[in-house]
Amino acid sequence: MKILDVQSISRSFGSVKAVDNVSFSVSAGEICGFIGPNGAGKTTTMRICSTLELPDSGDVLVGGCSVLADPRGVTRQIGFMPDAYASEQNTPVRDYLEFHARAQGLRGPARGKAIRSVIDFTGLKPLLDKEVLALSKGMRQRAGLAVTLLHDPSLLILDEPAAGLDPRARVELRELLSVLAEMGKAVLISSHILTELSEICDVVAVIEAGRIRASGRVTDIQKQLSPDALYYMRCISSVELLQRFLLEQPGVDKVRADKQGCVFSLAEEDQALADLLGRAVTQGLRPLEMRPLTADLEEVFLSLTEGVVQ
Amino acid sequence: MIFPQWIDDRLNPILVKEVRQALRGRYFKVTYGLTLIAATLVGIVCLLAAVNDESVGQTYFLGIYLCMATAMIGLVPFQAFVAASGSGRGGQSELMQLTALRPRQILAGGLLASFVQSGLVLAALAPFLALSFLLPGVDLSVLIFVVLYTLLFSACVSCVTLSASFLTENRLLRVIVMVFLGGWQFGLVSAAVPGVSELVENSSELQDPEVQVIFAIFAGLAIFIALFAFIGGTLRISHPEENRSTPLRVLMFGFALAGLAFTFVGMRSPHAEAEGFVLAYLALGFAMLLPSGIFAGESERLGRRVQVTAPKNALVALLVTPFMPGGGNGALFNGLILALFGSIMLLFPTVQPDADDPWAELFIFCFLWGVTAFNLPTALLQRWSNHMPVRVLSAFSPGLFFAGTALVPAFIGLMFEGGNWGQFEHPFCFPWAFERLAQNDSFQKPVWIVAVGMFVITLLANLKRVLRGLGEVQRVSKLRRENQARVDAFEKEVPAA
Repeated sequence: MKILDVQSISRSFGSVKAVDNVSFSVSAGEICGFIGPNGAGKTTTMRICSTLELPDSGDVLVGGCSVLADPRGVTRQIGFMPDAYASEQNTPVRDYLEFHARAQGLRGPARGKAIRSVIDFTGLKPLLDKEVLALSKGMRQRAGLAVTLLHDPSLLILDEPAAGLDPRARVELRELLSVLAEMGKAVLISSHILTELSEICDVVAVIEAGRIRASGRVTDIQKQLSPDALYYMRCISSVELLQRFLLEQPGVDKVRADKQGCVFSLAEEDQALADLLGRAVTQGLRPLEMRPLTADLEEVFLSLTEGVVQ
Repeated sequence: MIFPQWIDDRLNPILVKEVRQALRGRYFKVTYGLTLIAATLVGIVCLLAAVNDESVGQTYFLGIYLCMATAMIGLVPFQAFVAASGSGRGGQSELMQLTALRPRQILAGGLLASFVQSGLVLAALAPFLALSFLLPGVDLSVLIFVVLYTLLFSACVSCVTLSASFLTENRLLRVIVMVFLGGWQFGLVSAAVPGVSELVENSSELQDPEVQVIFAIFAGLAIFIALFAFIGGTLRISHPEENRSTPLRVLMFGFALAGLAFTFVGMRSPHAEAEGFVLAYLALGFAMLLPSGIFAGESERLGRRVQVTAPKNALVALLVTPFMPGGGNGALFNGLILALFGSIMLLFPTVQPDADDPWAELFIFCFLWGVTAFNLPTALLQRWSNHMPVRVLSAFSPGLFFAGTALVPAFIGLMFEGGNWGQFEHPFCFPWAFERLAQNDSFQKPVWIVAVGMFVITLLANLKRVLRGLGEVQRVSKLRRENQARVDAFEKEVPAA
């Protein structure tokens, strides 16, 4: 079920078209990585999705509510965490969470229950009496995430949540997000750290110069970029012999050798692959390894974007 | 549900947060402590200075009042500004838009927190006030009146400072606003103390109806300014495409009606001085200068979120068009207000045209100038009204127009030795022209030519945008009617839906 449906939105600031006809969607239980270089339009798109900006054209539906016609309906369903969060002075974490729970309209036992629930989830219990401004960056992000979850939103929009976090805090954040996705929440997350996104994201949307370059599963995008599947093969015999063998085979393309083996592309058909392997054995190459190469988010990103800055 | 829980659930979240933050913060503790120390010291000094005096209570009370006014009109509202500015940093106030809180609740929470702080200061000073009553010289009714009046002013000033905190996120501009507010509050405290001194010394004056009217006017003005600031503040923190104009227009219209009713009743009173009321009436009209510039300088088109709120009934839509956002509708609103002033003028018995009385002519002259100043500059700037700097310029354009029409011809006169134009004696200078008409002298023709000529140019410049504004409201109203008809037809066809 689609929780977030971005429908051809555009937004200009003066002569700069920050977002240009952007469309993509995120379903329940899905984590969508929103990636793009600086100034690509990520934050503007996220702000439009969370009703803080309005599109010049197009619309965004969150759980069926339009950001144009029913912004209150949208805000009830989203939890938005900007890159800078939690900067209240003279406020302990307990009061900070209580204030936001009140601000979300939670009353009576429901408020206490929601606060306890997010404290347990984010592990903030030992820090409840500590001032928000005295927390480390990682812990402050946790407090921000806890606030975002208080009203149990179906869509989380996280703008660069891992920026400035140490490796441990990143791993912990990643784990929290995976659990949230398992709970059925849709997550839209932007980050510059592609390796990190590739580990947790089910789908990605790549944006550059305000336009979506590709969206969907990373493997599907890889297929769009290169219809033939890539394989890696290693043999006991020399790499040169393997390379020569591969170049002779029908359907094999883009052969590239490294120190131990070769990378090549082949139209993805099991029969062709089996035939190739059979021929390698009969020709005495003695194959050790043959595996498909999975798409790497970094490669996908680099091949899709051109480094255009607005 | 037990009663305290019920109250706890309904407390404004901002109030709870601000009060807790204030009580934990250094600023309030220091302010509170200093006020107590100052009250004690000032009290002792006053007592020692006037210990043998019959009016020792008055001296003591004024000393305590100085501390109270400094805290309640100066420090507490300033704390409200600082706290709201702090919350605005890092986009916190923007994030509040994503909660269930409405902009008015956000501002009301800050205001209530400020009120609670004022209450705490008052509670701290209560023993001192009680002592001043026990000492000879202070009337209880005056004491209660002064305390309540100060509390009201404290709330009004807090309202203004809170709203001012949302004006800008630029640090430098904030400092400028802060300095301006600080100066303003200092001025208010400086004015309040002599006023209270006068009242305490002549406590019987409070029984005088004229004095009561003056206090009522001051209170009314303070409440109006606070309301205006409150509405402006809520609109400032609401979404850019929300309707930011209609509440202010309704408030302005209400203020205009109340002011007109006041001057009308005053002028009919047998004891009133007609001239004073006529001047009050003119001042009221020109007091609308700045807000009217804001309305007529708005972006021309209705926002998408405003369009879905247009009345479905065509006649109602036509009637509310001046109150809808948009520059053209703003020009229409200004016309409406000025027409209201003009038409009520005809009801004044003292301004009926006669041979010796030029008031009617002066009213018409002011009306022509008012329409021109409110609407000509904004009409010229309308093309760029989507840009914020132009809108800011538009807001101040009526004032700039008055200054420009007086200054530019005078400067040209000075350059080219054009008679008395260098001394601002020319028909484009509003005060000079007004004076000429009032004196009924021979310069009337060029004065009227300029006034009528500018009025006609203004009408022509605004005609297109006013018609466009009227047309747009009618169009969206029609669209809403058609959509409703579609929904009705669908519901008739599929009753279960």
